[in-house]
Amino acid sequence: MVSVADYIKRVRSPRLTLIIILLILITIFPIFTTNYYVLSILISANVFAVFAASWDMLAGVTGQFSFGQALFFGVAAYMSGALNLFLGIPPLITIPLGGAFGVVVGFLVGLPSLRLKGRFFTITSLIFPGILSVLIGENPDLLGGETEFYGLAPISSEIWITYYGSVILMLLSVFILTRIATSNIGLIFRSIRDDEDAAEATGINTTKYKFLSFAISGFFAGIAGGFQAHLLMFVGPYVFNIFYSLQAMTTAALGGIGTIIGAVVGSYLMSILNELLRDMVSFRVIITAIMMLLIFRFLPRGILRAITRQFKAPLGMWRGLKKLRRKEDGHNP
Amino acid sequence: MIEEIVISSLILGGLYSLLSIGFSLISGVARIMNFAHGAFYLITAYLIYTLLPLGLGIAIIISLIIAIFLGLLIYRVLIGPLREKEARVALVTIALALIFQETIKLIYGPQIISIPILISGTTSIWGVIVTNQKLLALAVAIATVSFLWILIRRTKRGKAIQAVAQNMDVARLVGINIRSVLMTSMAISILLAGIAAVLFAPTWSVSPTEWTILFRAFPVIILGGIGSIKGSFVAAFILATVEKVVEFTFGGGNIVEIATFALMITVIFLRPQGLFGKSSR
Repeated sequence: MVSVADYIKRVRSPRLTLIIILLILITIFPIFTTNYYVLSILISANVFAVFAASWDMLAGVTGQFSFGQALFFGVAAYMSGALNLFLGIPPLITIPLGGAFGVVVGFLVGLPSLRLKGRFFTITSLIFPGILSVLIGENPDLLGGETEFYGLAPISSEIWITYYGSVILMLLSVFILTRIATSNIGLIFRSIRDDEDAAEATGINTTKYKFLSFAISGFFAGIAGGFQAHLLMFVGPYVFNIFYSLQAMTTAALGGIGTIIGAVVGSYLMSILNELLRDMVSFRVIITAIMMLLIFRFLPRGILRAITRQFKAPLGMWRGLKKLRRKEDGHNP
Repeated sequence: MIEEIVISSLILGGLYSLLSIGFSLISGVARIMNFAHGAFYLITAYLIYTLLPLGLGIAIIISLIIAIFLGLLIYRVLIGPLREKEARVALVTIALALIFQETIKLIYGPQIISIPILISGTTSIWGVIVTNQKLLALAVAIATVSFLWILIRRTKRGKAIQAVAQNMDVARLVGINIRSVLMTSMAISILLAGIAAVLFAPTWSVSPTEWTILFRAFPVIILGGIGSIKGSFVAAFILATVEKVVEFTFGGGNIVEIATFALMITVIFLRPQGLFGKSSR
């Protein structure tokens, strides 16, 4: 029987197995239901997966624990919105342009932020989205103020097309981010995370690579922001809210910081949780906050690692049994 | 008008100095970012509101004690074990602040509450009419900060706090009980937030989201240098003056916030460690 059992034996990675099962489920999901509501939940789960993964690149891989990821998300959402609304450029082009703008902002913010470390960096990264939120929220002439940025073109009139759009966006982004994280550049990023002085001492231009990480992170956060803007067909100062940044952080950490793929797992879990709590609006923030507290206090390496560790034990036992049986059969591979 | 600016900026500076010194103290000693610091301001205000039937004086004392014990418990269970991981502490304390905010919202509702003032009446200084509560607040704030300054400079425990802030490993080597010093600092830090609530919550409004008052103190903290008590004190009055001057000149609104941000970014560019801070490590 060339089956799942065979496959697991060959791959030997419960995490990869989990990911492949998840992938198949995501791809064939519209077969089960084309319910508008269910699909739109999954779409925003995909968008947030990209957003959280972009933060994971900067924080989890490079060690720059930014508290202001909503900045990239927000400026790109506004950029995409403005391009679409004023110049009539279709979403397919405005979204990547939003990402490009995220890169520009990543450089601009990186300029002062990279001079700072630890607590100084944390506070500074918190400030920038706050500035824009205040500027835009209280100046109606500037970018429509609190409310007047409606009427963006939707991604597609068909919900299932939008769904596949978000799936492609998510898969591509996560694939590219994972490739970067496992490449030589990723290795340099991780060396900066683990010991910046040592990295510097081995001749790495740490400032250059931190800039690069900011740019990459800004790009993917920007793409997510642009997609979100077209999805809701509306942009407002809400995009700079600190809770967006916190959500990205919690999502990535729920799945596992520094794993990139953890952001996807975290995002889907968060969506499920949000749906379970839908009828308890007044408890929603508190439960999210409690979860955030518990994750960062007790489960910093994320749920993905906790689960796979649980899986590994029985799987190993099963492999051991198979080996024993083969010996008894006199089979000699 | 100049008199008005001077007086109102002194009073605002009093609030900023209490808030930012509390934050700076624990930040400098334990090297953590306690985003729940503003939540203790909030908790004290609501505790006083709840315990009011016991009389204002008793309510204030019991509230401060409860707030300190709550803070120490939180430190022991949630913050202490993570102390060396700055980012995680920051996240856990933001989560804590949100939990407090939501719990208070569930118990008391989202509306604004008011706390009675300590003394009534108004005084006229240089022709400017100020409520006595604000003058008392300013006086107590400065007295508290001076007392803290003497405590840290002159007493043995204060010197231990300084030592830990300077170099934790060496402090441990010379036999200072680090954990106890950290707990003391945490208690003082919460006490300062509590005093700020006692003094200033009656004149400012209090609602469940008011823990974000900490964010108003952030420019002060950056300007003064994170972890520097002297810096926070000086910066509190500098920033309050800047805010008030801008407010009186341009008529207030978000121009004040923009001016604060501009000042903050300039400081970050030119002198990231702040006026009195040590290096950015």
